[in-house]
Amino acid sequence: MSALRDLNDSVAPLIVRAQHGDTAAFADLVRACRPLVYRWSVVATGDPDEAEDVTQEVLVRLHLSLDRYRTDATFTTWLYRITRNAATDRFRRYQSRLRLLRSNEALTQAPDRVAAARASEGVLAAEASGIVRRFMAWLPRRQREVLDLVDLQEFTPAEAADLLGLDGGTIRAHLHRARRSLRSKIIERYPEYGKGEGE
Amino acid sequence: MTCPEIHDQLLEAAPSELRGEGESAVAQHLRSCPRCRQLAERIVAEESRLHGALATLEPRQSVDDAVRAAVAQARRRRRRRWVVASGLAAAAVAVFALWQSGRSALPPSPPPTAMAQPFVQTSADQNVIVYQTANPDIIVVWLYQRNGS
Repeated sequence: MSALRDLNDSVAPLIVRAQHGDTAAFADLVRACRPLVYRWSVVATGDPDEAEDVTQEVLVRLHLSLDRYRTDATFTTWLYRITRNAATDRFRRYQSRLRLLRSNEALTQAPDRVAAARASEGVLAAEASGIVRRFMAWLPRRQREVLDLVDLQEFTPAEAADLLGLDGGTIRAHLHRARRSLRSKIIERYPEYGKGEGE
Repeated sequence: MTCPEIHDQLLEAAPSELRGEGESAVAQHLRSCPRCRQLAERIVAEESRLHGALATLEPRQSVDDAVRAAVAQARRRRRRRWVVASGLAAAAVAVFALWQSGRSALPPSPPPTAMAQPFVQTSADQNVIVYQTANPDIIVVWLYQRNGS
């Protein structure tokens, strides 16, 4: 709780100044929030490069809508929703571009070119071999978000529920499913630990 | 509780339980079973590695550049919104003006009038029957001699 509360407390005066057109205050606000926004974006998109674009889009939306932010809402909750919406919008645009690309390729390319395109997708998937990308691939978006907030960043389930706009029961269900999926994959990678012999 | 049962519980246990903290069955077992503790420690280590990786990732663009780009982009979008909004407003004004001029060009429609009662004057030896048709402009008037002619 304290990390979020500390952040909200520290940015409160910056928000007020930025709302009155103080560009330096806006820059300080970005400096304070961008690491968090980027992390949320990485978890939401599953891709650090995509996350950079999402983060930049969040900053634009922040600048556009900061004057409409009212302090009766928690700033980080408001910012999280902007981030999540930006990630969702980007994902939709990416999906539609991909559909268009595929339909164009299907119309214009010989079968061997289509196969080559599929192979290049495989290359892209192979690039996603770092720790973060692997973790992202193991879990669906919602489970990633809950696991990151509760188990890794150690927010309380109530805080995660507030950020994600979900109830406590749904958070717990996502968390248990995420832990089970992630840890099953970890155990698969270390067969030497195998099943216990029993006692 | 057996080790296979504990292995299954490790999949959903809280991180603190994996570290052997607290008095849950899982935590107690881990404190007494080196093999299961080793597995739990592996899970904790992998999750910490993931947390560390997420914490160290950061955008390539510097904060100052990102702020400058965001402010410029926001200004462009505001300008574009203003252009779109003013275009829509101009179009709305034009449509309203056209509608108004169309209304004034039309001839004024006559005010609705009450149906006038026909007045027929006859000589003393005539009878009259007045028949109002469905068309308000047509009235049939029948005059005939009183003495059966």
